[in-house]
Amino acid sequence: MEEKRDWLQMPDEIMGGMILQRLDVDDILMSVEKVCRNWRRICKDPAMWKIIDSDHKFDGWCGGEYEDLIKHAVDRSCGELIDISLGIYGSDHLLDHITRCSSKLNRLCLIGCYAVTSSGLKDIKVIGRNCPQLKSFKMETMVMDVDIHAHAIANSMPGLRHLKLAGAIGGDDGVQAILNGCPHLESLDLCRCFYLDDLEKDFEKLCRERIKDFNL
Amino acid sequence: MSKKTLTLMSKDKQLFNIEEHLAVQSVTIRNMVKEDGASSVIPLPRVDSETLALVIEYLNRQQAPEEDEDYVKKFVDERGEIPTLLELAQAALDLDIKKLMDAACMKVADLIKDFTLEEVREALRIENDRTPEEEKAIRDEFQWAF
Repeated sequence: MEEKRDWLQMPDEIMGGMILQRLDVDDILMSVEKVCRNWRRICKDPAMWKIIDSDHKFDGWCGGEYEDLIKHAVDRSCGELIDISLGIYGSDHLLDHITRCSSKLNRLCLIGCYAVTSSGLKDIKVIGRNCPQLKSFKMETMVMDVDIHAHAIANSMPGLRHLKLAGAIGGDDGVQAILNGCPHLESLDLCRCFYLDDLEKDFEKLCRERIKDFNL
Repeated sequence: MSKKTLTLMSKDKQLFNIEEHLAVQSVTIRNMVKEDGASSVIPLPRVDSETLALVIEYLNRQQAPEEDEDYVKKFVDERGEIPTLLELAQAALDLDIKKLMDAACMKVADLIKDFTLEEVREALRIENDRTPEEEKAIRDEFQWAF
């Protein structure tokens, strides 16, 4: 019978880029990269860490440890990070670390990061300044104020194409600021925002005309 | 209009016929056809006959476009063996059939995500070739996590 092939000869673009990259961050760092030398090499490659999607779970970890793990993953990207989603363990400290060393960041999702405080006004401006290529920004189920955050976003993220601020408190003043400050916006999702239910009908119409995908 | 047929040859020299309009879902074959009309046999020196038979089966599918995603997923699901899926991914890479490659790789990732270290090594026939020094380097790097 023919000698079975050696999978280590597989191109990195398949093994790293298409397969291992799909695994959870903790699995990669704690297990996958220990399989053999070649996999360790692939897992050390910054290309492996361009996308870090970890908004869902951190089974068996305590929040602080998992945060350290994600920080480690961000460091491995060596500034190549373009897309990151953080979950409940996300903190001001982690967010600051990410945005300080990821100037290529294109997409940032914060989902239920209760430890990211609403002094976010300052932080958001810093994010905008440090990540000038940011095209998509999502904050969901967090302590936030549309008016305060919206003004910071409008002032510091002029290149945004997609914005989601779900479950915030605020009114149409903030939304107006976003319309003015982010002229390239293609989608704006303000679902589950308090006060926005009574958005002036005319203003809502204006939003729908201006933004292809507007969701209240 | 009569349908033109192409012949593909696997690594182990087996020949497979396939209608040209189906074969050109492979970008690699499409480019070959464009360049020289691909009248003769197209050799695929890295794809064995078992895998090529699967690729042909995939290219011959008759799904409506809206059912295609489900079909590809089912197609790889039915071939749950990791070595088969990796062969398929490699062939799909060589032939530039993106949907098939994506689906095969996603399935492999799904399968190995719940494996232990040893199970991964076994399934992919990988030997642990790390030296004690390298083991120590990894342990040191993650000292805070142990």
